[in-house]
Amino acid sequence: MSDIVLSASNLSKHFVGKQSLIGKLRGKEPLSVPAVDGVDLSMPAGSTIGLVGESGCGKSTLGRTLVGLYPSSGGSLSLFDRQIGNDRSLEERRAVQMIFQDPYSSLNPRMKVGDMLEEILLFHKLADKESVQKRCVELMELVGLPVTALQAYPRQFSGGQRQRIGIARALALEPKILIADEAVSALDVSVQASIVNLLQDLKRDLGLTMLFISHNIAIVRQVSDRIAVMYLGRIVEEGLTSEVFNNPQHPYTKLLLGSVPKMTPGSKLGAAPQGELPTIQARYEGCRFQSRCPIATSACATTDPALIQIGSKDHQAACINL
Amino acid sequence: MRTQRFPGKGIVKRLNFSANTALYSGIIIIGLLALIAIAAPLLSHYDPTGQDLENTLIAPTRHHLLGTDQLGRDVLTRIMYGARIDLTIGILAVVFPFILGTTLGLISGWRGGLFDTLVMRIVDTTIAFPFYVMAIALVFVVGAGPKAIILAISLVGWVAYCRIVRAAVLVAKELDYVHAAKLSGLPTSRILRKHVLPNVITQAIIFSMSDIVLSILAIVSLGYLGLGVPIPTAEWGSMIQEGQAYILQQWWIPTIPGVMVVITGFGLSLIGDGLVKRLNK
Amino acid sequence: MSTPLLSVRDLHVEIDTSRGLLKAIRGVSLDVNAGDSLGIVGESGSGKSITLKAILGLLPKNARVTSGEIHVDGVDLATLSEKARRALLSEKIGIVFQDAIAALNPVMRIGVQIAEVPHRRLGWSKEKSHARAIELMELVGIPEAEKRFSLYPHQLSGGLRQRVAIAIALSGNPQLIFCDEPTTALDVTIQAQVLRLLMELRVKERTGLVFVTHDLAVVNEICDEINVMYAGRFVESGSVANTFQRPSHPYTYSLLKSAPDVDHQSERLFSISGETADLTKPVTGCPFAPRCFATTQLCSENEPALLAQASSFSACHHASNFTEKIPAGHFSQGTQGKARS
Repeated sequence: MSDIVLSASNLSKHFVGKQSLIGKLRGKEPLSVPAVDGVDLSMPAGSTIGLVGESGCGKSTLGRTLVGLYPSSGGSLSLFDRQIGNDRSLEERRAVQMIFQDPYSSLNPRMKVGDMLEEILLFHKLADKESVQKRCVELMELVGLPVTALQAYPRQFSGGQRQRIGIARALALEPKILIADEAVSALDVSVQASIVNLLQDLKRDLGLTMLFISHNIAIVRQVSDRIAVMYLGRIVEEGLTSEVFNNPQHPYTKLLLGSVPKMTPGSKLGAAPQGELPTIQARYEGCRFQSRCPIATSACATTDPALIQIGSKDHQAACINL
Repeated sequence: MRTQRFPGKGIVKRLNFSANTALYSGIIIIGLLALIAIAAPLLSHYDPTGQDLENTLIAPTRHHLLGTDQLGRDVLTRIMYGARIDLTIGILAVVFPFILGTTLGLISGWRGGLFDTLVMRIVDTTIAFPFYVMAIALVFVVGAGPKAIILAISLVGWVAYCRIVRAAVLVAKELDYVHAAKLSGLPTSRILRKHVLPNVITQAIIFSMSDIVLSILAIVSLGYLGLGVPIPTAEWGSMIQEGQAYILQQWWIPTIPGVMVVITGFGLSLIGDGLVKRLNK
Repeated sequence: MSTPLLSVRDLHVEIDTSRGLLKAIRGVSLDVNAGDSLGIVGESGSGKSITLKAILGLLPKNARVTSGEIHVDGVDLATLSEKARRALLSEKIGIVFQDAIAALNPVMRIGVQIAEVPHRRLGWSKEKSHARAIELMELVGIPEAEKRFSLYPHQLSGGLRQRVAIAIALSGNPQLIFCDEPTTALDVTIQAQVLRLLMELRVKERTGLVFVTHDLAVVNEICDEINVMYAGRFVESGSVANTFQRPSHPYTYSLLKSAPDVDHQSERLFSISGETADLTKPVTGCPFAPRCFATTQLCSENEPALLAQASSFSACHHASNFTEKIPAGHFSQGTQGKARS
């Protein structure tokens, strides 16, 4: 088993709503939404973990908490076996970087690509005044952009090229872990493929560890070594990609995989049951999936299931009826 | 409270020039006005306050292109010297609130919390306070003149910049490029200066163009109320006020300073309009 | 065979943009019959949504149809007055857009919105329209229809809103439903529900479907026929079964290979280099030629027409032999790989 570079233990992130003065005076508890609610996740060095789930399941919040954009509300995070708090050192920040979804809002429109890279390279002393230009050129080559791109503003690029710039910005800090939050979801199919390939190459060549967050299950399967399935703030199933896809255990994973349209000729979509995606609540009684679950029993209403090992394989799921 | 409507704005909207046409023609108009103001002593050999009681209220002639007023002063000369006062005060009365409002808005929007609450309460209070009442009070405290005018306009004017910038910061701080700057560990002061400010200041700059017009209108209004620049200094507002008695016979005396205000408004609106189109591209 | 429900011949659309005149659609023809299910697939800017809008007369102000004929139920739309044209279109065709929240009136109860067409246009009584609305809500799978009748759109989830939009589209008893990326904004489990609903409607009500999407897998699931659009034209048209197994255009091939499939994990995705054609410039030769792996001199000189091939229609000079030029690393997981499953 390889070393764990980043691990979360019982991690949670609650968003606390604004409170009125009167509410405060009356001692009322502010509204708290547990977007991430007790997540355990380990990222083995050099692996790509795919994080899937539907909107509102907390997968983006989890990514942003791991990268340090949101302070966590509970649980712990360790980076290379060292606990890290909500106030990260520059070293710790550098080690975990993010690639964002929207190729338009993720680049400062008033800064040339070269200036943007130089700023962070110089700030972190990853290059000096003489070598910074050379390093910028290297980064452009790394992400497959022409050197002339350094002199241009973000608006002069297409969506796919902007995503490459965003990747170059993350790589400039020489991170160990990349968190790709829906990094290809806004792109056309043909461009999507080239960015997915680029990320896979970079991960291999630079020895990165990657968390690939996406609602697109087909892409996640393509890039990931391991899969984590999230539902209402919890990870409900986790394991090797081949294991989870070929032998899904949790009823939600089964529903999710059955709902994905397939490319196989003659395929007809599985029978998706009726039911809506519930919104996150402050508290749950029992299992969060019971309202949509086809195999729910009375025990599900009282027991909050924990992740348990499935057989002898590298695969775990959180369901009491397995 | 000063209103958002001013001469020239509606016309510019309707003209719908392209970004460059609007910007350049606006710059030419304001440039010409500024040039006239600067070169006033060279363009005219009359003294703007020099009285010539033998030649009062004469119609335009070769010697007095726009005639003279009730004290025999050359109207054209007074218009040119008036541009100096009105443009200078107009611009100064925007620069101070611009700097103050932008800074407060930036910090307020970024930090939120108690500071933000405090600033926004001050903003609300200022808005609720009638502008001319405050201006009149200030004139009594500081004494009539440019200082009181600039002070009065600045005390009210920063509010608009503060609100514009704060709103833009609230949006910008949730954008991913700002998140990315945070993730790369850059210090907050640098993120604000390089990543937030350049992207939120455009709206404030655009607003400042129409704000100059509003300031000039306020100066002119104060001048008209007799609270502006003390007479006999040439100033468009007091010229309108003094000239209104002659509107039936010598209509040009109060009308021409008014036309100058409109032209200034028109020029600045063109610049503002051009900037909107260019910066939002 | 009777006259098709919808027949479009050689449609051309131009759009005025800040960069100049954009030839968004350059000759599109299609026929749809009752119970058909036709997919139009393309990337952004290919003209797929504009095609639907042009047929429906919903083009934005800066766009116009420059030539082409549109027949609905055998009637040439050009011969009708504006009013008659609208009446005919709304009688025959229902529309479902991607953004259900924008398609619904936020200040009108959903039931009233569904009952509006039967009540106003079909002239039904209030009670009968109300009953019809409830019936439609049940048909599209809105649970507790009676109770939800008087809710407003913002009180519903995304999936339910899209169902309401479909119910409205069905309320005039159309023979055809136009869907413009109706499930793109939905979560995958909800998408599956909506897609199944559309499939059921097709069987139950014999409603024809024209389905515009960028998602090949969705087309595979619910369409019988596929039109692949590139640079304002169909470059391949045929049955979904044939096209997915033996694409006869390099663009179709590339698209199929660049889209990951949830059933397979491949070593590497096929990627298409370059950018889509700029349609503000005149098109010489095949618009896909600069990005194509099988391009020859002929391709840059002559724009190929959509011609019949062994199993489908293809607009490629090398439709019969382009597969020989598929880049080496990709053939192994090519068509044979798919056939295995």
